[in-house]
Amino acid sequence: MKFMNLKRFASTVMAGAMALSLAAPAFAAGSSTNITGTYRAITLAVTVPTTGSAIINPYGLPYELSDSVNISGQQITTGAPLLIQNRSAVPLSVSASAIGTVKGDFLFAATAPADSVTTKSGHVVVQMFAAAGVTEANATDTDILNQKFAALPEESADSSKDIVVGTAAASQDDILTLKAGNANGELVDGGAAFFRLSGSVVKKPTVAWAATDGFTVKVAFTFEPTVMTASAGTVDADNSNVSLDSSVITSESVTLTPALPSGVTVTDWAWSSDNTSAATVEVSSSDSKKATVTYVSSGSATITVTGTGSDGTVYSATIDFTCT
Amino acid sequence: MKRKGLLCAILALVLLFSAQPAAVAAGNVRSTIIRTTCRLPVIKVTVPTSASVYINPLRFPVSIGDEEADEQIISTPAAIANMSEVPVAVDVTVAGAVKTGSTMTLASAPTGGSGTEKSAFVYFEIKQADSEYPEDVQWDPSYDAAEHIAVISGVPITRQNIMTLPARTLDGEVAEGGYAPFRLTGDAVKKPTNAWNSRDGINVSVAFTFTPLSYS
Repeated sequence: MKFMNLKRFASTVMAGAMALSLAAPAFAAGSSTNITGTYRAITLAVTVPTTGSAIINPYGLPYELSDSVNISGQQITTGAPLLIQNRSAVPLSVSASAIGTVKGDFLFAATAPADSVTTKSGHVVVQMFAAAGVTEANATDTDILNQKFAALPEESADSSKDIVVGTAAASQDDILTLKAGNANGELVDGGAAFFRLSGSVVKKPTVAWAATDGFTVKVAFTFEPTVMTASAGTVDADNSNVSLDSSVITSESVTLTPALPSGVTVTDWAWSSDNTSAATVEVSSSDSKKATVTYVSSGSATITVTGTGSDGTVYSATIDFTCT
Repeated sequence: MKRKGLLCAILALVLLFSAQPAAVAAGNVRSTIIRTTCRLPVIKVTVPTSASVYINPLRFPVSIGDEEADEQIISTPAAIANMSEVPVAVDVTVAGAVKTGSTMTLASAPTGGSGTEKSAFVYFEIKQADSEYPEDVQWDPSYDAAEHIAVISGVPITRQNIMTLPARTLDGEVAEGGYAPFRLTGDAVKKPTNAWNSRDGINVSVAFTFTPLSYS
């Protein structure tokens, strides 16, 4: 009997606790919301070659990528196309670092060696290029990749983004941006980039080059989700007035002439001024490619037009105004 | 049982932490190792090892291969050809000597065929060409000190960078302009006081130096 009482008491306590636990959200609902946050990792679907080869080629000898494709005239010749590919759901900004180790008598030079240099030294850089036209359909087609790789310009696409290789690590941030993959996770045009080793070496060192001379470079890429941006075209002042004043020319119409990639559309353009104290801008109600810039006070203002393309890229263009 | 539970909990934590770094490393960093080796050009230029030169003061017709010549100084066809992967700059040194037993001399200027001394003026001429055949070459009509090298007994004369022979083609053939026929020519005194004889003659050494240039 005593045992039964205890059981009943326990049941009562449990029932009360359950009732209270159910009632609590109802009480809380009136004044606050608890939101639980968890980290959601973004899975990057990026393909990077694990190995590559290059040649110290003092005389720029022709190097056969295939039976029909040659590279010649490059003192540092990359032996095969090196391609990074982004199939992720987001555009990626590519940063990279490089560190080299030498073999034989090779020495890394910080700058292109002068003709008077007689040591076995070479200026080696990592360069990246957008791989235009490389898509899921041809990303594994060696013939096409060889042709595109061999057709890369001798000069860097942006020398300020070259990584000079040395025995200490060097890096460059945001070298280029890779487009996101499509809805099926496939590589799209603009989603791939070539990289290569390039540079120059001493042609006739005092001690002749030997097959044992060489170096190894480790290139580490870092990918960060970003927004794909590109030029929208040009913005012109309709009456060629980019100088406004308080009395004579107080406003000017501007028009965007879009230059978008084939098949890409932008449905709506937004206009902004980086200095509304000097000039404001107001989009035309009939055509968002047009706007009116209005004088406010002395100063300068950059007027920017921005639109998101059907390919997800943010396109923009600017025009500068001076207000006196 | 309590001890077992504790061990399980520790093991679970160890597993959790050991899995963590790998997940982080696989995140947004990827690496490529590029290994580099050195590639050097092979210089391969065909140079004839010997040739003959005839002193023909009276301009008798002389058969040279399938051709007939009647110049006073006649040499057999000779040419260099660049089979290298790279262009080469050509230097040449010409040295001459009168044969032992000969009483002739080597003149330092054209003789014009006249005179009484048993003398010959011999000079070296080389032309860049698309073939090795001398008949395809437009030889200069007369001696030009700026273009030719006079053969002077005991005095080697070197001219540097006289021409650049292009690299062989990608098919491994001699490229257009990759040949350079050369010859010895000149003149000789027709009727010297001391008549020409079979012991008269010269030895000429032509030494080429090839310097590899960048492929372009």
